[in-house]
Amino acid sequence: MQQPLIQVNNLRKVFFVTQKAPGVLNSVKSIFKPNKKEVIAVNNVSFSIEQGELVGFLGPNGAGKTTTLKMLSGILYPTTGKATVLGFTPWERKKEYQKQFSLLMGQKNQLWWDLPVMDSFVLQKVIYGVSDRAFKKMTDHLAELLDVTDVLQTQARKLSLGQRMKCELIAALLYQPKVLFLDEPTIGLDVISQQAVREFIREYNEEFHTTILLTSHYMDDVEALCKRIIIIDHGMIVYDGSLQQLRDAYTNKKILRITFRKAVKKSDFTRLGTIKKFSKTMIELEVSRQTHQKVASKILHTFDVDDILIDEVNIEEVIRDIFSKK
Amino acid sequence: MQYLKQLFTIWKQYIVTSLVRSMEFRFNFIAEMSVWLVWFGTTFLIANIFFLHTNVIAGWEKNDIYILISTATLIIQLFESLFFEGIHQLTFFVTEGKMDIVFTKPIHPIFQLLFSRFEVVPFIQLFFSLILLVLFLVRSENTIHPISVILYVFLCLLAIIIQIGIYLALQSLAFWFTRIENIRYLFYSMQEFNRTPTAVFHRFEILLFTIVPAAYIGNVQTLVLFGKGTMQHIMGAIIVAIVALICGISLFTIGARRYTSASS
Repeated sequence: MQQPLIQVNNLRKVFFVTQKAPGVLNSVKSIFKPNKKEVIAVNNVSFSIEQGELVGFLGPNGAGKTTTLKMLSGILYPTTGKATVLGFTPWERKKEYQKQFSLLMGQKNQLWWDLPVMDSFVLQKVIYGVSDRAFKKMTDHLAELLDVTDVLQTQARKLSLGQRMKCELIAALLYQPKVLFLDEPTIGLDVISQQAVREFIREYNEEFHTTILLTSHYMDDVEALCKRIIIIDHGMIVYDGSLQQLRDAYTNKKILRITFRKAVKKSDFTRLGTIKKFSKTMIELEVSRQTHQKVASKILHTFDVDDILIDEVNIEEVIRDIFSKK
Repeated sequence: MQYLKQLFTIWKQYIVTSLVRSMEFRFNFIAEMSVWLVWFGTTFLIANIFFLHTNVIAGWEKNDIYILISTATLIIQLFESLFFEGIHQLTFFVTEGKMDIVFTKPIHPIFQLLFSRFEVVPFIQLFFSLILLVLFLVRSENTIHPISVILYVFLCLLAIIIQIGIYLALQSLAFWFTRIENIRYLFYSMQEFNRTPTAVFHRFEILLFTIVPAAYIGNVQTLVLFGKGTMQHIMGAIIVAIVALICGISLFTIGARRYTSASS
């Protein structure tokens, strides 16, 4: 039986953070007697991922997703536990391992800020020992897929966030890593860019059978890409299974946030969905995914609406539901 | 051998990338050159003022001091052009979590820090220092032997290693104390002693050969060039270079295990 590509066993990471009350006096006290608090970021996490899988790694802010990715990338040493990726222990930081994986963090860039993007790609090529031919082929192919061929001669700092993220993806992939860790790759992007990035990741996974572990707050990312998801909360895995089961049970809902020009009655909405929040001129209504458009249309026609927002159920609510049922 | 070849290729690419980057900021280049020329000129002016009142200071004549200033500046500019800015990034990388990127690359992190930033302005400045050095040597009454020149070059390389070791050690403290970018002023303070003959410090002279080894960044090289260097000077430079480098690498390696990244 083939070994999983990524095997994580009881991984644990504890941080000690200094806490300080506000004010000058407390700052002075903190110099002599710092108040350290133990934070268990990752708490005995275990999972395995096979080659070619595209797995979503979800959880609220502070759940331990990024810390787990950083340990699997070799950036952080775990407090206890073991992990192997491609047969290597990540925090040993062996060159042979580092040449086979890539980490893309949505909020940190590896492109040189002041340089045209292509200069950063060339540097990446030299660092990873990519041949001239393979570099040209891969860069042209990825740039065309992501529709950024025209901006490769532009300084990274002058690109829009969406363009920059696409270029970061190219930098991460031009040496064809076998494993890709994506930490919130669509954060801050507009809807069109998010869709473009998702489609690209899916096509790339299909074409190159790259194993991908993706963290995100956006259910649309997960729905578009992942058949399997791992949900982590307070450093512990609370769900590891197919997305379909999760979707059927928990995410068949949408949230409508509506503000009105005139005061409305709560009783007018009780039959339309579950009321999450209510004030005289605002309502937050949970409705099923299948009927949300019909409900929104009815409200727009019946009431004097100032603004309407249709949103996903907050992932933290989903996780709270899962956790409470556990 | 293959690995060394690869590292050399990567270093060449870092230099190219840095050159391209500095050409993006032409006015910064002009401003930096102008300020440095004024400062460099002032250093000689101050030395000249001292020699208006005397012919010799601690056994050093005016032209000898000029050679010392040029030597010390040459060594510092070489260090600043090749290594300083790269090592200097460390505190910011630790504070901002950018060491994440460094630790995922398949090259040793110290190599990345040392060689990733090549500064054009100090590199050009060192040619000014070199030209002045040659001019002052031609004017000098000291006889310069070829062996002295070889030893001089060797000791200049050791001086670079000493600076790398010390600055890497200082910057590695960022793994413990996070915001520590002002520690560079400690390093600059050390450099102030480089351009002064150590003999003027009398009983404190020993400190400049040990705890604050500024004597090995200018003084020892100049003495050796004049044929006044001793085996003690040379052995001292070798030992200090080895100790400084070990301290720098060790502190970095131990600190890297403590690295906790930063929030996105």
